[in-house]
Amino acid sequence: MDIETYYDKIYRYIYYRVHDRSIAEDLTQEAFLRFLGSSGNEPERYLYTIAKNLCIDEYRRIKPVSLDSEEVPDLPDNSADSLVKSLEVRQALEKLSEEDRELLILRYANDEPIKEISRLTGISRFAVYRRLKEAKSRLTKALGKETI
Amino acid sequence: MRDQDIRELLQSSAGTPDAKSKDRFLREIRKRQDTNRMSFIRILLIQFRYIRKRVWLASLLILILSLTVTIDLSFDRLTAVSDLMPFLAGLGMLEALRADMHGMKELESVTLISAKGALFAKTALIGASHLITMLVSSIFLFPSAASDITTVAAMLLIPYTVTSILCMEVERTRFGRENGYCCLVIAFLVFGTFRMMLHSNISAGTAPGTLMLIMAALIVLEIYELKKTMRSEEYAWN
Repeated sequence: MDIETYYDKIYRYIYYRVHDRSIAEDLTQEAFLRFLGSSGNEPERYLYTIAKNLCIDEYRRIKPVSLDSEEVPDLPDNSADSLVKSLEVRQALEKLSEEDRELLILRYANDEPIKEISRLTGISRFAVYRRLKEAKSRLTKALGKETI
Repeated sequence: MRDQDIRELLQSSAGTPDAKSKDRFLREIRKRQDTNRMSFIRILLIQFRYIRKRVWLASLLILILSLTVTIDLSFDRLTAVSDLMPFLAGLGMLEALRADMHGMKELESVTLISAKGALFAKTALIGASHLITMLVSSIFLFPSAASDITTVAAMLLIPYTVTSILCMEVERTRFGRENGYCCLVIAFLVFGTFRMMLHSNISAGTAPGTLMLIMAALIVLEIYELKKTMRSEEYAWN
């Protein structure tokens, strides 16, 4: 498994859960350190599981930040456009179910093929395809509603 | 919304991780992985394939020559084996420091195991094979030789260690690095000197205790020279 390729994927996967760049980076590195200390038959799946568990631990540790508050989330780019766009995406994703969010991040943010998503999530390829289609339409709807 | 639009939107709003931090982390991880992956046995096996056949053949020749002594008992065979020792050492050093000679040192330095690791592995392999050769030769030569075991060991070990010490000394100089075959010149010089000493009987009658002391001193010096050579590889690398 190419660590360099997966570094960005795991970073994005975590970023969409914690919405903080520095925390996402720390958790990404932590995920890899834990991953390298172990051995398994399905490394990608195991890596994503570690990342997910680290995010859950992080949720428990910190107080969730409300989007209605004055606090501006930590974003990769500080330009006004990207700030607005990121907020829109974040708000739209938060309206979706956990499963929809996971599928969309894996498929579109991380470019994982359907076959790989099926392996990672443990659901059939057909189910992945169908649920992705539904998730996509829900995201489009959410983005349409939330457009500033 | 098209798939491509969603892809761009999700990828761009997450951004990319900090390049410096990522690079630092990946380098650290790779270093750990490489260290775990490259066991000493694996380094030895890799280097074993790069050592040319002539080095092993030279050791084999010495062994065959020693073995024939048991058939044809004669003291001259011990001298013959002893005469070959400087060349065995010279050939070994030439092989161990081959990267320098062919201007491949820089390339070797950037490999996974580093130049120091490669040199250490090569020296260990060649040194071990030579040690075995000398031990087996001593066992074969001792019953036929007119002298005691210390003299037999000294006749094999002294020319070998003197040659390798001198080779390492010379190889650390610029001239030595540029002229790798000077190892063989040193071997000839050592061979000539020892021949002269044998003919003029300078060494005759040397007490076994003195010979043991000389051998011990040469072994210590050889270890010191090896350490110095390894350190010079490390300095070059850093």
